[in-house]
Amino acid sequence: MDFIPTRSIRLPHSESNTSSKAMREHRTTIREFLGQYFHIGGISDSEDIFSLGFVDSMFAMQLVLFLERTFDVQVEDDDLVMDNFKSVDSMTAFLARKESATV
Amino acid sequence: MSAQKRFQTVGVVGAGVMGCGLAQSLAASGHDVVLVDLTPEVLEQAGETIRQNLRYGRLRAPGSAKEPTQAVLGRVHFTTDYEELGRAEFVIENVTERWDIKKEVYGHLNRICGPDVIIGVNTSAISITKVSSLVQKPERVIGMHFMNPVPMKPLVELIRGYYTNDSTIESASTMLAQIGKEGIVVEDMPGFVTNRVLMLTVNEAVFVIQDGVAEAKEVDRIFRGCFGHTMGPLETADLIGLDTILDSLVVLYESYNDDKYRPAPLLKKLVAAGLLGRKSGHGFYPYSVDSPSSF
Repeated sequence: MDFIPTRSIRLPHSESNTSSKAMREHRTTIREFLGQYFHIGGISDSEDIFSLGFVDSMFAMQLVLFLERTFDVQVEDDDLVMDNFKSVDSMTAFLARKESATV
Repeated sequence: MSAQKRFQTVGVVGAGVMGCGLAQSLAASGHDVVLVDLTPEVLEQAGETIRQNLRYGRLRAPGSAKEPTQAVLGRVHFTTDYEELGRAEFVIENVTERWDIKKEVYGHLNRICGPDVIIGVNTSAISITKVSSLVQKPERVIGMHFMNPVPMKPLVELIRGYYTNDSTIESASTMLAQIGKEGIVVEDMPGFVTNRVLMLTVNEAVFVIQDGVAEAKEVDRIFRGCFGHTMGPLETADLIGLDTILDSLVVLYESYNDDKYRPAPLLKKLVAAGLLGRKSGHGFYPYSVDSPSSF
């Protein structure tokens, strides 16, 4: 049986925990925000909220502004693609990329 | 048709929803825009609105924007000073649909703009002929009824006032072509074509649900499924705003003195209750989970 490390050995222990904790909090905050607009209980973090018909494309701009204001990130022209905002997972990943780029 | 010159600098008066949409369309197609409104606060808000709408356009149609958002926004000059309209080659007025306000604005335009500058009146309600009486050379005044959201609507109602001449219609058509739009010329009667027909349709749809003939979602589904409309009349009303629908019906009712434009009591009731459509979170349909279900 291969040895599978259970946690990254490249990052110091505390930093790894802090980062994943921050991402979990981001995920919770995003779900809470979406929950103001539709019943989010029935959808998973990976599902596309636009193709499911919960919201229309106009809502994407609300998401952009929400992410900028809540997480203090700047959404640049090149970031303005639906793939960044279509699901809880994609928004969380987007925040992780933005935050790692500014460290 | 003679070749028209390109209009490069365009004045936009009024930085509300329509003025912002128009300034955005003009700037995105390479025009220099002088956007005038009364206060720095309104202009600051307008700048933010245009910036967000440009970003939304980028998001909605990837690859459609050829320039950075900031470069497009940089072509809009925001000012509270009417005198700056002196350099505009074409002016489009979008101020509040009230005669006393229009009258004051046209006083400024008459004084500041050259006598050959074409003036487009972006209105859905006010008589173009009456507005044209406020300036010298009324033949250069034409109605330009843009639809909301301006950047997404390719057709514009062009309204020929009593004095509007062919050269003015041609200039307005050129102006529209420069921003990728086309005009349909109609005559100057209250509500033109768009509002006269649409408002009656919406109003009758409200009477239909008031009378219990069908529910809102059924009415809209019939229009979408049977007639191929993209949206039904009640969804459309929620998008426009029920207060705006009511105001438009009142104007039509007063203009024609015809009972057929009387607003449905249910429409008045919804407006009085603050159920104004999408902008208030509830109209004929709910737009948030906290709202009760649709009618």
